[in-house]
Amino acid sequence: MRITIRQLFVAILFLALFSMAMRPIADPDFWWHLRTGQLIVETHAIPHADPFSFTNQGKTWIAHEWLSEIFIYSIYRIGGNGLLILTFAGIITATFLLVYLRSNERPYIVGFALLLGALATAPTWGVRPQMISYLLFALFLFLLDRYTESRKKKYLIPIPILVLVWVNLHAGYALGFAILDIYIAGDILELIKAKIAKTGSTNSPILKNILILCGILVLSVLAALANPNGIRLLTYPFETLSSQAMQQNIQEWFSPDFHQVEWQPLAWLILALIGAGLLGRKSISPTKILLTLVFGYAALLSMRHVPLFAIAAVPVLAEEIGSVVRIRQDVRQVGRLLKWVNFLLVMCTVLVAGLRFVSVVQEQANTEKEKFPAAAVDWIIQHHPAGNIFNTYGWGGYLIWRLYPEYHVYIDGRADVYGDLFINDYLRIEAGEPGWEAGLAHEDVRVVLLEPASLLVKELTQSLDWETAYSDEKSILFVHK
Amino acid sequence: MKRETSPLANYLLPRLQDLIYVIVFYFVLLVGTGLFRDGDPGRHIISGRIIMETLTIPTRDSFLYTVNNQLAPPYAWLAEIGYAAGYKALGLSGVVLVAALILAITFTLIYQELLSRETPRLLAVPLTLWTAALTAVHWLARPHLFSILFLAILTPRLTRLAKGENVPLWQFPLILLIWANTHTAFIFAFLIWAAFIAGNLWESMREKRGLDNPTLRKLFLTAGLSFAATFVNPVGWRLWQLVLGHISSSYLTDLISEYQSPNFHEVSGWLFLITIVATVILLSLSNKKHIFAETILLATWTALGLYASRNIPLFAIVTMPMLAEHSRQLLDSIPALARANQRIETIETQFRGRLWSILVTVVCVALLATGTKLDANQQGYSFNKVEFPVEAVDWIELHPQDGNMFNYFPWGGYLIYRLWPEYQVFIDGQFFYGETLIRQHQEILNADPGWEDVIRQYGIQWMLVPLDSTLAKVLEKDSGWVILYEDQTAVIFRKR
Repeated sequence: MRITIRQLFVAILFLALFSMAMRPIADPDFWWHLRTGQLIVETHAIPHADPFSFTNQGKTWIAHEWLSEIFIYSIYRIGGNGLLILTFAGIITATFLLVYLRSNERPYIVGFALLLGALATAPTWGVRPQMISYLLFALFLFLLDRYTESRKKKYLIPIPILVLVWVNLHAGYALGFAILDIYIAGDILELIKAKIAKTGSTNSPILKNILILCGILVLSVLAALANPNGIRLLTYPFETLSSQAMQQNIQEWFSPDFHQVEWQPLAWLILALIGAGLLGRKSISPTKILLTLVFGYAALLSMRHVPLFAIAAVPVLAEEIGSVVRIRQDVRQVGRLLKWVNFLLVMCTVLVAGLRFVSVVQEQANTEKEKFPAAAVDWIIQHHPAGNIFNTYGWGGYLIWRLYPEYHVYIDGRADVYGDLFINDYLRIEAGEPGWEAGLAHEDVRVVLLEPASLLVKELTQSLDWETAYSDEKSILFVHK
Repeated sequence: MKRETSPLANYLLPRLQDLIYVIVFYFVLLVGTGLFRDGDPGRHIISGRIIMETLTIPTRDSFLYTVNNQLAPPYAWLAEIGYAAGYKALGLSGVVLVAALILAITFTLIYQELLSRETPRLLAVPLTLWTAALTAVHWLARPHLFSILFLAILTPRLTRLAKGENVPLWQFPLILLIWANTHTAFIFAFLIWAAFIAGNLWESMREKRGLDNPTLRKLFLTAGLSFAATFVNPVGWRLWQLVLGHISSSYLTDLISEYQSPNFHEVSGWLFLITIVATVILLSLSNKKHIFAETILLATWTALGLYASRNIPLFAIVTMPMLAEHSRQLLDSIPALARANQRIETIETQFRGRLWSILVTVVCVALLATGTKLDANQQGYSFNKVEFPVEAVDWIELHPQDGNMFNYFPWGGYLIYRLWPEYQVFIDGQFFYGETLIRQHQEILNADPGWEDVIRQYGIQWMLVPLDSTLAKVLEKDSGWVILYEDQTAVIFRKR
């Protein structure tokens, strides 16, 4: 087989991306996803009420990620954390492969834009159901772009089916509707443009296209009803987006902090879009402009939306750069010697990916100790302290994995289950504000597990009713006397 | 048919430019209390008063006992004189008046710049007011308002110079000479020079003109002369040391709220975002040629705005003329608006104006001098009782305390304003003294391990801290401290 320099470049690019995407599991929510998957597999039922907390037990819980959770647990059962890390690195790579395929520019230019986009999204990567949403988001854009270019309906047929799968995987399915809306709006703008230029009529193909997309949107909405929570799941994503407690207290909903090195590639991506857009003056379709603007705004609003922006904007950036930079069309095939050199290069990249995998899997145990109160939980398992545990929000998921069903948690990452009022109460207690004792007594809390920097630690240390049972650099555990 | 107005009416009727001046000037007077939502104006007023009374510019600090007599570059002495003069004449009303004048002149200049770039008047007015709204987030009675003004003076001149127009070169070092003695943001001027020089070099290379380019020579010459002019200040090269040391401290820039990235959940973030998007779209769609330097400027200032919300006002001043320049095409594509603009321009060119700007300024000065309250709440200008320990300081004046005080740093400027020279503070909102002191302040305020050692190090006998601070909660339960005073905002503790 003969490979060109370009093919080699693409192979190395995606192998490198795959290596980058492999990282230890550090997401606090991963653990309750895993436990939920196990619960569903073992009970053959999807929970509709909270089984994990003692504070909100029995309260309605919309387990919108149930299929992802089964997927995560099944992979874990088969190959443990290592296989999960590999699978999700594959999902992330596949997402960017779709972004690559959407870009009509030359590989080197797309490669540069893609790398920038990947760096911008890297802080959000991990073993999380969102990764599946990002993949489906990229797939939607890929299908709709292909349809826009070819007008072949075969690209639209999978969309309602994908929505049916997506709605059971993650609440991000609503992004599918947003994308369809944007493509419809883009076509309406095209229609207006044609009207102004007096080049179109009411029977124009654009109008027909708008109607087809509206039909697909309706079918997709109907498909979204096929989920264990029925019509309730249609309003669920908007409830999450309007939750003040989540927006104000959960870090991934904050605007990106550009003082942090990890978010600086996002600033470069924005600046590159501005700079190349102004220099190249490439005519970009209204749909692509809308996609960039809508998801650009979403990214600046909340860092968890940055991948959506990168996925939408990378092809636009590639087009813009392509109109500024002129690279010689190089489709030369390589000679025999170079062929072996290229083969060697690809193998080296595969080797690097393999070594990276080994190191990430080895790192997993340390990451667990660094991010979660692993030793304190060991202590609880050994000593079985009596009573309910008050825990830090970010550790709830880990405790569910390690301690459920012997212990239930006070709170965990399922903010929608707890609601704004409860979360605000939790924050007041965790900050050691007046009334914290009554708050703990109300829920019959006898054990408190906190980070040493927590303000409540100061109060508990001074209190005569509590004593330190265990402490290390990561956590401190108090028990009621 | 062209409508003619009488010559007298031409002088009596206000021009749009006068309206901009009057709107901004009066609006600042209405919201003037908001100019004191930060403690720093207090320190600047007192610093200016010292300079006016002693006719010397102090280069060593006398406000903080923790850094007593340490070199404190008077980086804003001219601005401080300006605010202190206003204060001497009319108290805090005079300070608001100075700020209102600076802002009204700034946005009148912006409006004039938009017109000089052939922006239709119909768009120039809302765009100028939009620029004002973008800067409003940082309207405080502090020297940085002068930086907004100087940027509005410098940028148009540099743009014309970079476009090859004739601009008297002596103006540039003169502007920088005054700016460097007024506020530290003068360093941003050199970013603009760098953008124009880079843009000019790029275009020279593309057109294969090489370096034999008179515009480029002028840009280098003015940048060099202006750079030299910045050293003419009471502390010479140390001013640069102060500025660079300050912005290179990631600890300080991470700690101070105005250095944080914008929060796009807030309206100010929205305004910024809309402006970026509108500028990019307008510049992309416009057939009018824009110079490469403008692309660099837009990208640079967007980056600065994304990095720190305090840069958004400067972003607005630099980029709005670019956006406006390309707006005529948009207006021309809507015939009804183009006709309306034509009518406005026909009428406007007949007016001579100026009367209303002068009249409104004189009347407002006279009203404030006679004690009339012009703020929206009719309460007069003051530091807010909820944000500042106003009543606690009243109590201190009645019950003098001996020994060193620990204070919450955002209150430092206010305490200097109220209590200096009887009391010196632990810290205030200035950061020329470096990271150590602010770290120690945080250590005490959060009652972090070792906070009592810092108390001993500085011989602190009493503390004035927010009621809801961690320190207040800890001291409440500490038998070594007693509460002397407490209200909704502040609490005073004294060592037993």
